[in-house]
Amino acid sequence: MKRALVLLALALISVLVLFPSLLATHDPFALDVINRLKPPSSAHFFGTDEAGRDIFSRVVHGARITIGSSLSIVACAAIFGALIGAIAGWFGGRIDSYLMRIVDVFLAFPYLVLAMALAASIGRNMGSSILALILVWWPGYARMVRGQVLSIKNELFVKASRAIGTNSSRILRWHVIPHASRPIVVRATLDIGYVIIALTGLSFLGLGAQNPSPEWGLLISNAKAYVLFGWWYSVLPGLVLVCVVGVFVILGDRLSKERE
Amino acid sequence: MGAVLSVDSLRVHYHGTERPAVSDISFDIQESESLAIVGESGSGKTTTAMALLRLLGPVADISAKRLVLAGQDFLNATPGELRSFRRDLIGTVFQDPTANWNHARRIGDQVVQPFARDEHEKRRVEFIDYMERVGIDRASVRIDQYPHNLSGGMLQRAMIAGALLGSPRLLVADEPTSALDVTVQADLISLLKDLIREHQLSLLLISHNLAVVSQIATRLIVMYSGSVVEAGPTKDILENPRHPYTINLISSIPSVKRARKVPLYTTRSQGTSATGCAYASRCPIAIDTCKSLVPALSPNPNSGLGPRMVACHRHDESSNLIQVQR
Amino acid sequence: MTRTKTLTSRNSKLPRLRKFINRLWWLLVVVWTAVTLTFVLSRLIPADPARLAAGLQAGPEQVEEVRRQLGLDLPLNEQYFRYLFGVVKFDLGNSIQTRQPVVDDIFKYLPATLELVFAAFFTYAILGIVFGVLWARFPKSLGAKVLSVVTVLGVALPVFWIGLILQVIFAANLKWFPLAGNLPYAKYQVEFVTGMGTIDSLLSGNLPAFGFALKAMVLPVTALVISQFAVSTRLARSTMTDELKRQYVTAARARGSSEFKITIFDALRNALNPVITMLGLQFGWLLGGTILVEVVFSWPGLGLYAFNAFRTFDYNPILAITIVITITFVIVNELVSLLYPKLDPRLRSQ
Repeated sequence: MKRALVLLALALISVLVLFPSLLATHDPFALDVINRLKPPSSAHFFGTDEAGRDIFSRVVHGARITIGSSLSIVACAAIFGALIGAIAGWFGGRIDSYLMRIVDVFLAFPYLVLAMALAASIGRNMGSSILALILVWWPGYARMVRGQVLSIKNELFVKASRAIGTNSSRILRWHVIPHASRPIVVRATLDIGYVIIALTGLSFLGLGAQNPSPEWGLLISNAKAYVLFGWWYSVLPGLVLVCVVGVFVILGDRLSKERE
Repeated sequence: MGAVLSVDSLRVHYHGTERPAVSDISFDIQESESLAIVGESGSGKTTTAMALLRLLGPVADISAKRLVLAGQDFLNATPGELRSFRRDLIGTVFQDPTANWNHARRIGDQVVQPFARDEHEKRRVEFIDYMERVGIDRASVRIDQYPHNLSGGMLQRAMIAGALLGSPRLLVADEPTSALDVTVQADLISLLKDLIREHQLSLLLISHNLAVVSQIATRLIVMYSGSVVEAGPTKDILENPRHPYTINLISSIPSVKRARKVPLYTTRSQGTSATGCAYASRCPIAIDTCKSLVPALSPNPNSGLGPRMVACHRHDESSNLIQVQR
Repeated sequence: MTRTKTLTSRNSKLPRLRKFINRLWWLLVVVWTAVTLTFVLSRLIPADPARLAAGLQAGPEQVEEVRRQLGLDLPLNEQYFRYLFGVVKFDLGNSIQTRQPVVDDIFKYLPATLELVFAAFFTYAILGIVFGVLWARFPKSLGAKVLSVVTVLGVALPVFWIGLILQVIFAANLKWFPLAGNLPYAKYQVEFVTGMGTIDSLLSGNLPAFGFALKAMVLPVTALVISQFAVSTRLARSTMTDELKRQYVTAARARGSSEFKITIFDALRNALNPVITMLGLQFGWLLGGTILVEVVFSWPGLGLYAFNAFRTFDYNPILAITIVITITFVIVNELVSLLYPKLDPRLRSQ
C-alpha cells in the first residue's frame, strides 16, 4: 500500500518536472497587479503574489528548476565522486592518500561558504549554486565508493579473477561497479532530498536563482516580505517542497532497508 | 534437600522460526553436582542455558511447567526479582572473554555494578580476594584496569571470580574454554574443579568438547536438535553410549591411536524432519517407526552407575549394531 | 612539508607534542587554503569593486581615488600578500557597507550568532540523545512509533521555511513572540557589553529585558532545533540499539544489573562516540541554518552581516567570514577528535 503511494508520488513529480504546462493553470510570469496578494481561491489555488502572479502555476513551473537542478547535482556528484573513490580505492598507495586528502578538505568545507565564494566570483545564478553543491557533495560518494572498492578488492572472487588473468578494468566493470552501485543508488535517492533543501536554501539567500524565476527557494524568499499580508505565499509553496523532499527521503529510507 | 536446579518441560521458540529451538527439556541438578549439556552447534544447548536464566529477551517465547533455580521460581518471578536472583544466587561465565566485558569500563566497576551503592566497597574487596584465588596476579591493581589490559585467559579467570561474588549456589558456564588456547583451557578446567569443591557449588556446563566434559561433569545430557537424546552419568555414557547420535559424537573425537574406519556423518543444524525422530535422517539404524514416531526418553537399565535415559526406539540393540570408534 | 619532518625528528621523545603540532599544521593548511581560494575567487568578480565602493554617482576620478585607497591598483600578487599580512595582524580590511573595520564588525555581530548556535546545538543534542535512548530502550511503544514518523518527516523540513511558518503562526498571528530581531538595547536601556541579549540584560540586572531577550530567541532556535532534531535522534537511536545488542550487555544482565544501569553506564557511554562525531559533522549544517534563520528573523548576527555583505559585493566581509567559518569548523572537528580517547579507553596511549 505504502509502496503504491510512493510510486504514485514519484509519477506525479515526474509529470511536474517534465510537463509543467499540463498542471499549471496560468502563465507563471503573467503580471496582474490589480489582483496582487489575493488569498487562495478556485481561480488561484495558492493565491497570488505581490505582482499578481498565480502562485500555484509558479510552483508548478518552479518544480522543473528546483527538482531538475537537484537531480543533476546528485547525478554529477555521484558519478564524479564514485570515479574518484574507485580510482583511489583500487590503485591505493600514493594516489589513494593524495586523493583522500583532497576529499578531506572538501568534506570539511561548509557548503554555504563555498557557495557564497563561488557566487561572488562567477556570479549569482543557478550555475554557481549548482557547481557549489556538486563540489560539496561529491566527497561523500568518493569516501563511500573507496571503502567499497577496498573491501571488494580483498574478496576471494576478485583475487581469483586476477589470478586467471582478468585485467583491472574488466574486474572493475563486472564485479566492483555492480556491487558498489547499490548503496550509491540508495544514497543518491536520499541525497536528492537533502540537495533540494540545500539548493532552495541558497536561492533563499539570493545566491542561486534570480528573479523572476519561479525557483522554490527564491519564491519563498520573496514571500518573506509579505508574511503579514499573505500567509499562503510562504506556507503553501513550502508545503509542496516539504512533500517532494519527503517522497525522496521515504523512498531512500525504504531502499536502504530493502537492500539490507 | 531440594535440587539446586529443576526444570520441567522447557520449550523455547524463537519468533519467526518454524520449529522450536528447544522442545520439552526436563532435568535437574542436585547440590554439589556438575551437569554438562553436550551437543553440536544448533542443538539448543546455549539456548537452554540462556532460557533458564531468562536472558533471551523478547526474541523468543519460553514456556515450562516448572523452572526453579536455587530454590527460586524463575518462571513467574518479576524482572526485579530475577535481577536479584541472578546477582545473588547464580554465577555465569560466558564463552568469549573479550566480547563479554565492556571495553570502556574498568573490570572492577562492571562487576560491582549490580550491587547497591553502599555495598560497592565491600564487594570490591571480595572481588580482589576471588581474583587472587583464581590466580590473577596483582589483583588490587588489575581491578581498576580495562579489559584490553588483560589477556583472554586472565579475563576469563576474572569472569569466574566475578561469578563467585555473593556466594552463588549455582554456576552456569557456557563454553568457558572454547575461545582459549589448549594449555589455558586445562588450567581453567582444573581451577573450576577446585572452586566447585571448595564452595560446594553446583555447575551447569555447556560444551561441545567431550574431553572437557569428561573431566568435570558427573552427569551428562546429550542434546540434538532441541531435545534430549541421552542422559546419565558421564562415565557410563562415555563408555557405553546408547543413542546413535551419542555414538557418533564419541566416535568423532580425534584419536591418535588408530585411523578412522567408518566415515563421519556431516553435521547439519535445524531443519530436519517434521515428524518422528529428529535424528532419523542421519541415523544409520533408523527404521520406519523412527520416521513417524518421536521416541520418548525411556530408562535404559543396562548400566550400574545410576539412572540412564535414552530417546531411541532401538536403544536396547543400538550398542550391538553400531561400533563405537575410539 | 620539510618543516614538519624536522619537527618530528627533533620531538621524537614527545609523541604527544608532535601530534599536536601536526594537527596545528593541518589546521593552518586548511585555513590558508580557504583564505587563498576565497581571495582568488573574490578578485575574479566581473564587477568593479572600486566603482561599487565609490557609489554609482561617483565620477571617474573619485573611483580612481577609491581604487587607490583600497589598494586595488596594485598588482594581484601584491594585493594577495598584503591581504595575508593583514590576516595575520588581524586586519581584515574595511567593510564598504558599514565603513567599519571588518574585524570590529565581526566582534560586534559574532556573539548574537553564538547565542543562537549554542542554544540550538545543546537543545537538539540533548533532545536527540534523550529521545534516541528512550526510543532504543522501548522500541515497541507508542512513543517509538510517533518518533519514527516524526524523524522521517523532520529531515524534509527546510529550516528557512520552518522559520517562516513559525513566524506566521506564532509571531504574526498569535503574537506570542516578537516578529524579528533580538533585544532592542535602547528601548530596554540595556548596556551593550557582549552582544548577547540574554547575557547583557542579566549583566544590567534588567529582568524584563532578559525575559524579552529569551522570548526573541525562542522562534529562531526552535526552527534550528526542528531542522536538526531528526538526524540526531535517529542516529542516537541506531547506535544505542546496536550497542544494546552487544555481548557485554547480556553478560551484565547475567550479573544481575538493572536495565537502567546498563543503559546509562554501559551502553550510552559507547554509543556516544559515533553520535558526537555526527554532531560535529552536523555543525556545518547548523552554521548554514543559522545564517538562514538570521535572515528570516532579521537577527543581528554574522549570518545577517554576511548576507548583506554578499548582496552588495562587499567582499572584505565575505573573505573574513569565510575565514571565521572555516576556523570554527576545523576547531570543532578537532574538539570532536579530542573527545575520542576520553570515551574509548582503548584509544588512550599507554
